[in-house]
Amino acid sequence: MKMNFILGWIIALSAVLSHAEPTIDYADAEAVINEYFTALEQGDTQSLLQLMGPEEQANSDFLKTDPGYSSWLVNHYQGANFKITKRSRQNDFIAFDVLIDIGGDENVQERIILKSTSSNGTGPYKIIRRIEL
Amino acid sequence: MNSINRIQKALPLLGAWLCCFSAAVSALELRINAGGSAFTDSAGKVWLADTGFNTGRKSNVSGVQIAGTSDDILYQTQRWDPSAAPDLTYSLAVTNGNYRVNLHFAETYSGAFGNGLRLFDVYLEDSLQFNNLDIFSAAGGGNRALVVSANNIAVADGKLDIRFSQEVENPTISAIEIISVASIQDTTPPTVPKNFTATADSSSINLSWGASTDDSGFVAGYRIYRDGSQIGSTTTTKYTDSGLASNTSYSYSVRAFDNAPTANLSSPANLSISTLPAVATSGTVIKRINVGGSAFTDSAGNLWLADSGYNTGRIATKSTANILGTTDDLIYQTQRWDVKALPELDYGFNLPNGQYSIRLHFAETYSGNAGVGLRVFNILTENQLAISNLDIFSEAGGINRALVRTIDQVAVTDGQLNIQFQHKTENPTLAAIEIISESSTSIDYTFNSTDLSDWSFVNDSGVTANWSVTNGKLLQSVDTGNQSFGSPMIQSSKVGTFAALTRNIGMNNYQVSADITPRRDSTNRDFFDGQDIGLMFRYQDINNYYRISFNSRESYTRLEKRINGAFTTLAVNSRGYREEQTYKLLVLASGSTIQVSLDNKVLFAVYDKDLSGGSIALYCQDKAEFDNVTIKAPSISPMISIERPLAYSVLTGDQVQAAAVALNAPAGSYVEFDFSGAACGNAQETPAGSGHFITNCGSFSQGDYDQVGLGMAAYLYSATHVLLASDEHLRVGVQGDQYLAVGDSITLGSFDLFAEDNLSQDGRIIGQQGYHAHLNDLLTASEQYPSIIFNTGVGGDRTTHTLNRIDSILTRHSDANRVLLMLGTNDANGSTPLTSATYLSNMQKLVNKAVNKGMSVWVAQIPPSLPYTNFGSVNQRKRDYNNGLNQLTNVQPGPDFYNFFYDDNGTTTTSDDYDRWSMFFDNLHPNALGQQVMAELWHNALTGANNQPFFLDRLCNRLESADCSAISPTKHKQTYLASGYRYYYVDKTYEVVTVPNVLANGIWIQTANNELNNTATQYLSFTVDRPVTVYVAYSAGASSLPNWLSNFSNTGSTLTTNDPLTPTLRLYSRNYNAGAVNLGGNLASGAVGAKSNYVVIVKQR
Repeated sequence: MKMNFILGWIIALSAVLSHAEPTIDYADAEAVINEYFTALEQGDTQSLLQLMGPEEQANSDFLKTDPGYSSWLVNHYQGANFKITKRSRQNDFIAFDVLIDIGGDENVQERIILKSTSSNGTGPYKIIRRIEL
Repeated sequence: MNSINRIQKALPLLGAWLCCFSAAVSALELRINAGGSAFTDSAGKVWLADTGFNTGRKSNVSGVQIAGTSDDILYQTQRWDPSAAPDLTYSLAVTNGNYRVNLHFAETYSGAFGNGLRLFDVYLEDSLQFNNLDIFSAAGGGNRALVVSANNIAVADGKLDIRFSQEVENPTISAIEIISVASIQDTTPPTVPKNFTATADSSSINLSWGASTDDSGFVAGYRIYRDGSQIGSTTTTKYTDSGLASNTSYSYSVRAFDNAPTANLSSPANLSISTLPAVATSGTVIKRINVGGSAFTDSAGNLWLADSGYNTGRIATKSTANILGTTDDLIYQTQRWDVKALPELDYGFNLPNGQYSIRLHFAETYSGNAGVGLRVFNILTENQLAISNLDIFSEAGGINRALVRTIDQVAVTDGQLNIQFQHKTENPTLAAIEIISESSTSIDYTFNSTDLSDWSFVNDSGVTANWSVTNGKLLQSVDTGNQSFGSPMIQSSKVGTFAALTRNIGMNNYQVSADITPRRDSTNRDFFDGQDIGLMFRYQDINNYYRISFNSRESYTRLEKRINGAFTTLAVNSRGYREEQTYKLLVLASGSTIQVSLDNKVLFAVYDKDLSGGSIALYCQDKAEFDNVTIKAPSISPMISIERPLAYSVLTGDQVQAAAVALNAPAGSYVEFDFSGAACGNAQETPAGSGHFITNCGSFSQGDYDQVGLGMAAYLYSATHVLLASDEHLRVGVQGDQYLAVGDSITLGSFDLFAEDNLSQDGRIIGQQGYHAHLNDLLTASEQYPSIIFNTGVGGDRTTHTLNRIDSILTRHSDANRVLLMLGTNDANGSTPLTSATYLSNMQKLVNKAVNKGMSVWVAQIPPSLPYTNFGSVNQRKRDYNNGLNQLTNVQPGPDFYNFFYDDNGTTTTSDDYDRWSMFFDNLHPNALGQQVMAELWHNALTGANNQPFFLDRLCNRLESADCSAISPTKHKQTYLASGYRYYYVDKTYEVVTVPNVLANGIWIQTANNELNNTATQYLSFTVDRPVTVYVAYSAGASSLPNWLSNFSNTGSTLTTNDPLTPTLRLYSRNYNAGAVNLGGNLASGAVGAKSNYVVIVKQR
């Protein structure tokens, strides 16, 4: 009897939670950003393109046409420190402000915007635009 | 008066009756007083006592007065038949031949006082002559005489049978009169119909008249003539002529006729009347329903929706019926009829509360009801009787004739318009419904209530908007076009959010106006203010509509169409809006003509056929207010609007071609064009009948045609050369230059927060940021011919982005001849910057695109990122890019923004270099002053001039660099202040509230208020290359001034601020020649009591 009572509470609590406003889960999108960082560091232009949506791919054609770009990336980001400084969400868009410290006084500050490719907006995510901050 | 000449030689009636005739009674006539005794009427005619019947009972209401006769007795007695069988039948022996039979009735039973309460059929010689006869209805009430007549009834069996068959209640008959046709030599016509009157609306005329009389005792009917031709006949004294042209005069005649074998016609009663102008009474048709049928477009291009809104009923279709009185038979061939009285047929439409007119369309297409009184019903609107006893057959004048009845001033107070059809005789039927807004002949939304149920809100950019009624206006408060959060760009066209009016889907031709107010997101401008605001019309869905939009970031007004998702620009100029200012926008869409007016001045007029109808929508990308949205029928007045050349335009060639669209032009009218006061070639209407006229005006000399009477003028004349309308476009430049500024946010002018210098003096450019308006003024002044610059910069664009949109830019501005190209800042930045080779390859492709269109291209060296010590590798890339630009082909060198803002002193070392970061808003973007400087440098590059822009060089804050030798020694800025951006410190949000006019166009040095306690003799320094006046705005609350300020004069003027510690700054001035200017600290020696730092403003002398 006592077990049934507890089970009932668990079911009721689950029902309440399942109808609550969904909390923003950045994990899937953040995983894309981390893959992006890794690809930059390793000069993996193929992976960079695969992380992008069609429009951003179209604007990054040089990643596959410039044969020297991979080695340039490796050289440029050698020893760089990658960091997400801010994340926010609006509708289907998730934005990460990133800071890439490449040494000296220099750094790259960029907003990377991702959008879910699924109909319910929960992922998987693709990079649709990058904006200089 | 004796119309019937009684001739004794004709065939005698049977002997049974001969015995009874008096000497005065002709043997060729037989009269029976049914249910009564023999009597002689007032005309001396003898009526026999009731005889010849087979059944029935007598009734007598002696003493009851019978209207419409002087022989009441004849009608007070009757024979009625209570039994279902056999039918009451009179069999009257006559010699074989043809007879006219007159039957006399009166409804004298109060229990049958009402339409449809007594109905019966009358057969003569077993042939149905009168179906569902309703005495009360046909006579117009109770105790009123009614005579119905049948001519040429052939008798071949020696007796004439008159049978009365029950339908509702019991048949009854007052008197019977039989006259041998051969005996009738009636040549006397009825009297002229009296009191012939008419009423008109925009499409129909209701005629009525007083009854004629005839010596035979009754009139057989009336014939109705329009403009000399008979259009119908009726046995009643009213007639409705439908389907008429609006605002047109018609002449009508009505003539009574009698029952003579060859009907005698009365003299005509005549009148003339005009139908009303359509707009005066019809307002805007907001819904058309093809009752009982499917959606279709009528011959006038109006969309009729499929039948909807009904609660019951059945569909009747007579698809082959030829309907008179209309060119749209289809409307009348399908109907909805209601066989049951419970519930009655009721149409309901959700509408805003207000006044409406309802046009109902009818036609009697059922042959079984082809007779007067056979189908009668009432119509109620909002539960109030609106039309009683509607008899379609009677009013239309026959079967298969269109009848339109209008019910005016129907007040809807419950949000739903109800139209109910109430049974009387037979079943109600209806062919079509039109609902017209009557609120000053318009639909108005003033947003005085929070009810937005008529509107549907669409987020086209993917960013959720926020629409609400606030302070009596419709407010949208979210920046939906902000690219920094992913708002997409569709090529160079924009999307945002819109509020679509859902209830007006049936509209086609209309004019819509709205007050639109582009709002700042907050008191001060933000960096994304100035985005699109406008109106969408003939909106069908998210991918199909027309749109007029204004934008002040890029400074344009565009008329576009979106067809299946793709935008096409129909007209564009370089004039945006001023924030916080309310504009009256009006769009007129009629047929294939679209006319756009701004503040009552026609802006655009185009001929386009792609979308013929649809609703409206209120569109914006950023915070915006909408109010006083009004939709109404388009004006019916003749008008003409110039399509091209546009006002405030520049033609690059010497040839001037003209086009205009004419609206409501009468048949035979024509158009003439003038340019510069000279007649153009004959205008051709293209295509024929379209109202779209084009011509070639020839070659013209270089200049700006901006004087009244010397611009582009179009005149619409009637066939008899009466001027009906005209239009003129001024400020049309010929043999000028049309520039496209292509670039990124630097070209766009992001962070140029000084809007006052973004209005070109020739009026061609109205914007709020960017260099193009100032450059336009410089070019106009130096070249002495007109120029126009379209700013097509897009924030964040790399060369890769621009390559994807350049085609749409070049298509939109197909007349442009020059391109100002500056791209690369974003290519050099970010996590995946472009290599120099890729960048230069992209630039060459962009250049080639423009050159292939015949354009000349200037390419600017991109500015550095500052302070450059923080952007070493980025600036290295920029230098590489810039060096490579020199190698591009088919380009001309633009300004070198890199070295200007970097301020390289020319030595091989960098430690002695300076920079001009003080003219940047941030690390990348020149501020308001920086944009003006860019305009000057573009002008030098384009014209070969070597003008030095005015700015404060080597601006130095000695708190950061004691000897001003360090690179980027200052965080101070120099810029212009403007309404909406009036911060005068770099570290505080205090704003100037009032500024004396003497400071207009001065460069402000935004100091740091946290340096207010500086006591150094040298605090701030800069150099100037020309004589200037330096103004120092110092705390008015100070009890003593610093000694260095003693060399300045007190101007007597003050600035006020919202700084609580220092609400007033007193203005001191001193003139300087070219050279260095050194100013001391705020609290340098001598100063006492200043609680805020001073501010500096510098003006050229």
